[in-house]
Amino acid sequence: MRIPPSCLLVALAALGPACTGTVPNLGSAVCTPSCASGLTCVDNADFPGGVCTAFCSNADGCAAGNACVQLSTGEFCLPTCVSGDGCPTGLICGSAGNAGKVCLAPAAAPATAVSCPSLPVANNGGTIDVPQFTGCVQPIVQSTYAPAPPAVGSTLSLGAHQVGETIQFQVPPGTSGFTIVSQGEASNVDRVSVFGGVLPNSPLPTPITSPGSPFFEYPASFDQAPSDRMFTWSPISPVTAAVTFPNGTAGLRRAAEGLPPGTWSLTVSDLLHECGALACGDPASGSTANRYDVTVLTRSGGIPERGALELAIYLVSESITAATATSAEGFRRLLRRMAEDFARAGICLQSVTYYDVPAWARTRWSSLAVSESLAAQPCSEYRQLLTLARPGNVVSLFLVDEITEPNAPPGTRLVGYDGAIPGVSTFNGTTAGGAVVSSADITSTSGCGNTFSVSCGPDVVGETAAHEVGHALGLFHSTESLGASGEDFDPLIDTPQCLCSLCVGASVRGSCADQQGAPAQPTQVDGTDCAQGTQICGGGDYLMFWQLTDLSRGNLSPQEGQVMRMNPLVRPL
Amino acid sequence: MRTHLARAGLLATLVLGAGAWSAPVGTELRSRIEGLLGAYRTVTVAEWRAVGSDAAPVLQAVARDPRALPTRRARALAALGVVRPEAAAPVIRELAPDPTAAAVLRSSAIDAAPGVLGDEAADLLIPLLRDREPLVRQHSAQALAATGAGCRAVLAEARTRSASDPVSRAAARCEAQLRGGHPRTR
Repeated sequence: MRIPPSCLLVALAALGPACTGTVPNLGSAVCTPSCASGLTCVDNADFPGGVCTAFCSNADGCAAGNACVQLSTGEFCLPTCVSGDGCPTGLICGSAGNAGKVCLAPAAAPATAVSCPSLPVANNGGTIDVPQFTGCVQPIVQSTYAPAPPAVGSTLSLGAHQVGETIQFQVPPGTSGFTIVSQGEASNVDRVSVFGGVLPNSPLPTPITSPGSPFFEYPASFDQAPSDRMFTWSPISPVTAAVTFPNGTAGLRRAAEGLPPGTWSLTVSDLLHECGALACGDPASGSTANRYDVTVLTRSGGIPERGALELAIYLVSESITAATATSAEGFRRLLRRMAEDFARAGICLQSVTYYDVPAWARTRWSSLAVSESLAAQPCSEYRQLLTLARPGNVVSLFLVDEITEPNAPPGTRLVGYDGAIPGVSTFNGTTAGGAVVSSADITSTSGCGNTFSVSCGPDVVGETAAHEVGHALGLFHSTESLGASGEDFDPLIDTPQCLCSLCVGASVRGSCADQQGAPAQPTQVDGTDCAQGTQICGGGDYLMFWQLTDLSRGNLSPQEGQVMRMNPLVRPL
Repeated sequence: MRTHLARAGLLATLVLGAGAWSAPVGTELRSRIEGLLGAYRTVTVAEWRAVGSDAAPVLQAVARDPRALPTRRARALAALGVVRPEAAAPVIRELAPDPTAAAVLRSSAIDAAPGVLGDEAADLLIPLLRDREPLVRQHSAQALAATGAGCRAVLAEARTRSASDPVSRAAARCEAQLRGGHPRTR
């Protein structure tokens, strides 16, 4: 919830944590009892669960003993402190950059892991049978969606449509979530010039309307804080992409209530078309020339408490085979790591099937080049590799011998790369489905101990794989590198944030991207900055943090788990 | 990791003596470097330049640390080539031909070689066209073909290899350059 400047309230009372959430794990805007006069119950990414506080503006307007501090959602009056003892119950004394120490919300607690079998079943799926191809393929595939009880779902194939066309579809009673997959034709424009840069021309159905009311409209969503949007969408995958509802706090609340059944509509669109209204600068902005095959997958039964997930791991390697992977200790440790992470999302990793790929595919892709530019091209080697995925209700991971990055300092090796957020779940075999992970570290076990270490190969490969699966199931980075605005944080209010100007050391604080005169390369937040235990300087231990460090613990928030469990690939248990 | 990076960084500083980068690396800078080495996304040349040459001792120590993971060492080496190329040069010369080093680390050193070593890179890379490790042959051939320097060696080696060998695949690029009269082809 972003607080508009017009909401300035001059309050004399101190901040106090007294507004109790009424919906477990979702926070609540309802404060019980109501806040004292002059205070407002704020329940957002800065204060998940709700806190009675007062707004201020331009570092002014607070009573003595309070400081006006810019948090990610607005400016708030916060009591100054020197230690935890000086704060109202439930708040802790923490760093707030130039404002010194103030009373802040503690970092929201991560989710507790559910109990699952200790290790998923590992199968050897043999060698996939894929005829050699050398050119570019852009398959349009059918969904294999098969929601198991207790959830019920439907697959609504809406056919091929031109950008700008509005299509109606029927949402069954009891529906709580849906996924819309748009698969573009090979002749579609795949890239868009956007304000001097180039982005993949990713499809996005917008606007979407529910019976009797608007549901989502892309440009209008910019006026809302990420956690207040029905969707958060990021153009990552060219030509073919999915959006899954819910993927943010507002969506989760809506999903918990259930969606109105009846006739909904969506308008086929993509970034190039949306650029018409956004004045991106591409000469073809606003074009309606592209065509997409559109499918809607619905899901009923509410947000499940637990779920099950299967993985397919393709070994695109000159040294590792499915036979060795099913028995090697390094892979067992990798799976244990992944299973522990997913258990925190309420998901049991039930089985993993390793596949070998034909020799021609190993030759072509075992050393894989990936960059933002290559990922924006459906015919890049990276996107073409993803088309090898076999049909099935599984997340597809491709383990390659190395991932190079042609636009990074020469010699750079990446650990993983995800094709889309979310992936095009149940549509395996497109240029958007799956993630790539480097297996280069898997045999380095000398640094492995009882706890996670960035010196332990299986831990790092496992954590990377879990991170990429998190993207495939709909999660964004909890905090991006700059930590400087609401857009640098995920759309979930219960993941700790890490605000550069409040969390980094004094010597580099002035170079944060949100500071006046910030340099071309602003200060970035790192794991240590983001391990201070407060909601605004936390999250360095989370699975979806932008870095993997020794502080990483694979944590996930309750809402992150809910987003993952609403993905069509997760079977409710 | 943090502790032994600290030790390694200190050691590197001592070994390198009172040179231009003998200042101790602060906790804040070390944390920043470790974070960038652990980034899931690409860290750009500009981002490493912004960290500055004070990062060199830590990066060099990580690149040489046999206990660090190969991809982490590769990233450190690549970054070192940006912040202090002269410190990266000996590490590249050491790692690229080292048969005991992980293939991904050797291929990383090979990729970094042309930018750091300039024309001297060909002398390092040409012998590696006959390396036992396919990844090493592949990157050596690609690096030589990309600059044009050493193309004759790539073509000569390709004649002894199967069509599917990485050297043979890079040779196609060399042939095109020779046909086009690339000025650096030799």
